[in-house]
Amino acid sequence: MKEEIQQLRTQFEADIAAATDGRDVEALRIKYLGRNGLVTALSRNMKHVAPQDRPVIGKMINELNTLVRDAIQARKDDEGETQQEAGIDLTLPGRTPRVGRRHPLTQIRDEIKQIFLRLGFAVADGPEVETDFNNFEALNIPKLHPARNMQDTLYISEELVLRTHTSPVQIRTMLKQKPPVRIIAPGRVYRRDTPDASHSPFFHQIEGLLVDEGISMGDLKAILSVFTKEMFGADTKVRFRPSYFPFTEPSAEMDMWWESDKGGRWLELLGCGMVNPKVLENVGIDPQRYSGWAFGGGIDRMAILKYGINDIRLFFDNDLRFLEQF
Amino acid sequence: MKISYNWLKEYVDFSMTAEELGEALTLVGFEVEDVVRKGLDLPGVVVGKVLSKAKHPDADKLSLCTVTVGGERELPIVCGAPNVAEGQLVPVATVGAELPGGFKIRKAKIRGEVSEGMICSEAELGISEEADGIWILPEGTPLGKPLAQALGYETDYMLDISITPNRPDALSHIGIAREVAAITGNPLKLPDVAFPEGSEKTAEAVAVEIDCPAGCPRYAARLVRNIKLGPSPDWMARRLETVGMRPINNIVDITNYVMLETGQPLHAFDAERIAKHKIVVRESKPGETFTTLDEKTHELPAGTVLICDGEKPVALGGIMGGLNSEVGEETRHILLESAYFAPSSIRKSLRHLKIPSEASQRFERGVDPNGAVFAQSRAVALMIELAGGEASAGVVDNYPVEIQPKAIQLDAERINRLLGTKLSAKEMSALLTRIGLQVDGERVLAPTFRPDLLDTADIAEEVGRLYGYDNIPETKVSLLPYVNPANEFDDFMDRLRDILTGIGLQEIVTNSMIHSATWEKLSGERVYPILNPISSDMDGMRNNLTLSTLGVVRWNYNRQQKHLALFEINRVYHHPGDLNHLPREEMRLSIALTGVRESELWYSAKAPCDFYDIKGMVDYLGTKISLDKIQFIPYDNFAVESQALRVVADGKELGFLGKIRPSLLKHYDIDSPVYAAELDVSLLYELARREKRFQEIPRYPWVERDLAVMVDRGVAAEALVKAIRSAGGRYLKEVFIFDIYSGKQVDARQKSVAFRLRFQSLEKTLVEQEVNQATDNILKTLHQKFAAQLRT
Repeated sequence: MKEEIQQLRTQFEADIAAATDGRDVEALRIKYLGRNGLVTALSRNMKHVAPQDRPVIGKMINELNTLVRDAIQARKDDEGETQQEAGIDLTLPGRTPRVGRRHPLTQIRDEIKQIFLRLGFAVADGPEVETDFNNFEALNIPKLHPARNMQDTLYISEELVLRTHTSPVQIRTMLKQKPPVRIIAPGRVYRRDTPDASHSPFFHQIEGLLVDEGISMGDLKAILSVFTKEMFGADTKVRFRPSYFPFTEPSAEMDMWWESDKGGRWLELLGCGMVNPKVLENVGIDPQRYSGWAFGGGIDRMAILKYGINDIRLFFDNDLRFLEQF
Repeated sequence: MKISYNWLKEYVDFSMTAEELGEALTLVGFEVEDVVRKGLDLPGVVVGKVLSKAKHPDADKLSLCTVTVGGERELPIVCGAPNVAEGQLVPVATVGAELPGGFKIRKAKIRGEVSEGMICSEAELGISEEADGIWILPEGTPLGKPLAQALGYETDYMLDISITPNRPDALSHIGIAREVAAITGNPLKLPDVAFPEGSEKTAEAVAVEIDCPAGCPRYAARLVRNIKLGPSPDWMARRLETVGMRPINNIVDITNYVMLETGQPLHAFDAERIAKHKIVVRESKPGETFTTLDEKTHELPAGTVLICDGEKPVALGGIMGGLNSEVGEETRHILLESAYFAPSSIRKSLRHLKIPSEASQRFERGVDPNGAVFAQSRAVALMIELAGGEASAGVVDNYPVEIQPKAIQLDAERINRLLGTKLSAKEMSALLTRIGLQVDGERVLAPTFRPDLLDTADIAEEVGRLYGYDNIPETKVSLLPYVNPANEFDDFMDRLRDILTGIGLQEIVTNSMIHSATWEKLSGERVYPILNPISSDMDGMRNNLTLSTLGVVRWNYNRQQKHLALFEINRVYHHPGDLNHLPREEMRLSIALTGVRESELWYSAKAPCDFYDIKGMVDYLGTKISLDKIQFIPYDNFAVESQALRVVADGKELGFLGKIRPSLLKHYDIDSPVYAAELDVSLLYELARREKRFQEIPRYPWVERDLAVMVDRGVAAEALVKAIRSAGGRYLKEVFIFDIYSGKQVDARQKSVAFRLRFQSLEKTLVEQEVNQATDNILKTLHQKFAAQLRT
């Protein structure tokens, strides 16, 4: 009897799996649970079972009965649902939620900000219209210095300029705060450049500044290589080469190795160096006691590299077909 | 600075290729931006002679030529140039030659006639743009020789180096060679400057007086008599061409050549045009004018250093020579100037004069004051060699106060601290000596050709770059404890961006420089002007964001993208009244909506967005940042009208929202409605509540009542809601309008407003009676205040 029950269970499982529609399921109901059904017949045969075995066999038959009934009911429920919704076209596109995006430059700025926040930096800020003192003089670029030709400046008046870099934020910060100082300053800067694919008269930079006791160029290299790896991938190669900025001494450019279809080459990523002792003096910090490093790089440039964009003006046209790609 | 690879080899030995040299220089701070192959490298192109020329039987414009290239065989060549003629010496590309651009010469049949080579134009050989006919070579060009060799060309490379302003010494081949010597460890070789002197004593023939030693600390003069003006030899002409300078004549070329070699600008005067053979160096007087050799007359700022003869000014010192004393075809005797002009004086003059020249570019950065006589001697030697001159004996060298090398302490400990290195003083001094610095115990003597070296930080840079920045070990980054507090305003703007993108708005970033006249007209507010704008459409700083945003709407609108939901968070600038003051920079938020609200897909109602979209967004934003009591007050301004509100919170004006004025839309060529808002982000930040308090969730169910009343059309919904709230009793928790109807079913002067009221208590389940009482009270109040009738 036990084997018989087990066998019937196996048979039912095969039958229900093979049933394809409601009609099949109904046929199974009759076959197993109908007045002359197979499970019904088992119960009827109980009387032939030895009385001491009846509790066990009875329990087994009950279990089988429940299993069959539940399985058939479940299939019938699903079937009903399917029938009800038979009219739906599953190939129609789903509803797209309307969600906006951040501008790609904001996305890159966010990414940079997050990296430096993790390294313990805070965001500092300054105005875009600056004094000649903050933008030039305090940064060791006196009035007639040839370095002023390095960046063509937009002036408001003799003494006011549209800042040509984010470096005046260094001055503003250090005038307010004595070391230790650890900030980044992202923001908009201006140059007197005629717009073309690679120039915009306004663009965005990020400045970094760390001043404390015992800060060396080794620290600068360490932080910037962490930054580059976070930003452009763990196997990014960088190199540092000597350069010149009036407000850093020694000065360096950081290049990043860049692979493209045309092969690999070094690309200038940012300028950096040890804060010039004269700059520290200008803001009343003792250069014998403190040293620091600073860097400045283009946010737009990083976005251009990262996304392979071929025209800086695309950022400011704000064509939806462009913005929606990011 | 353009450097010739071959030329450089005169001063230092090295085996690097041009590319390798470029890389090595870049790594010590001389960024090589480009390496260009120069000179002629044209295997298979030889000098040929046209023996005969006949018409091609089958083509009007072609000729059949026989050409000899020196060998026994004469070559038949079909030529298309109209200027080909018998007897000419011409460049011939023989079979197998490859021309620039990859064109290979093959034996060919052109319209049935065999052609074994090609007679070339200058353009075809890559010499110049000249493509008008074949290149006819000068008489006497050796027949059969490779063309490049015959004309004195050799393969060379031009390295275009970006020289930073602190390194005037590197604006010369010797300066760059000094760096190459440091890289390779090979010695620097200076040119021989010895020459035979004539009997005439310079001191007796020329007098030099300096009236302004601050502007001109040194002036050295010498005479070279009986020169023969003519073209420079090929080697010199080719080198000048390689670095982008046009050869003129041997005298002018020599002064240029020596400048490019040593970095010392020289000036050659026609000695016969120097009155009284006297040089007086003085500062210009107010109002003085001067005509430079480019035939331009300049009004001089007072204090410009002028070189004068016994009567009149003859040159702008360190900037440009004068027309009145220029070397010309008649010139027989030269007065050669080699001087040192102070950078500060040159910079001051250049600020007004704007005459960029090779000389001024060097003097304003700082030429070696102690290199003047060396360079002058070099030039004199070359003049004797190449122009057959005769030098006067001795130099008249007016140099009252000799400029000494600067002594800087070699503070090895501080240098290591700045660099993060562990070099000994000995190792440092070994590096420094390589670039010509003298180290004497603890003192570094910075030679006068390095005016940039002033203190320990400068010496640290020299040590660092010669040791190699890449060899400086990266410190193990250890995180210092936090030193600067978080920038909450910056974080707040990030939060705004999250909220705004979350409600479907796309962020834009626009130009802050605008066309002042247009913006003043449109905004009715002054614009902060730029003194030296790039162009008139960017001559001021914007005073609002809405117009910038409309510009973006227009851009997209013109490109078939008419469903837009945009925002920008950026600065505007308020004119302070006085341009010597910084403007007030204010952070603003602008929003613009146009087109359909959702997508255009199958499920969308395709309903155009309207006033309530922009109002809803602003209201939602206020809720998200927990603004207390945001109020909307009817309003209009330059941007919005009729459907327009002023947004106020806590008694402060945050900005506005509404439907853009039709006249403004017309200005931007937009022909469907745009809804916009502009808010002050600093105020939002100030008023936003940052703390959140938990409110208990009610345990008892609410009871709802729907109520539709008929009121006059002019009754404001807000007033009705306010009345309902005040009359609804303590259990009334929520009131919202779920339908507004006016139309056929109701009186034309009236509208039906349907409210859903929710009553709820935190302590108990409300009974029917309590709710009915409150509802009756509400109806009574609405009737009293607005003559509202329950709609049945």
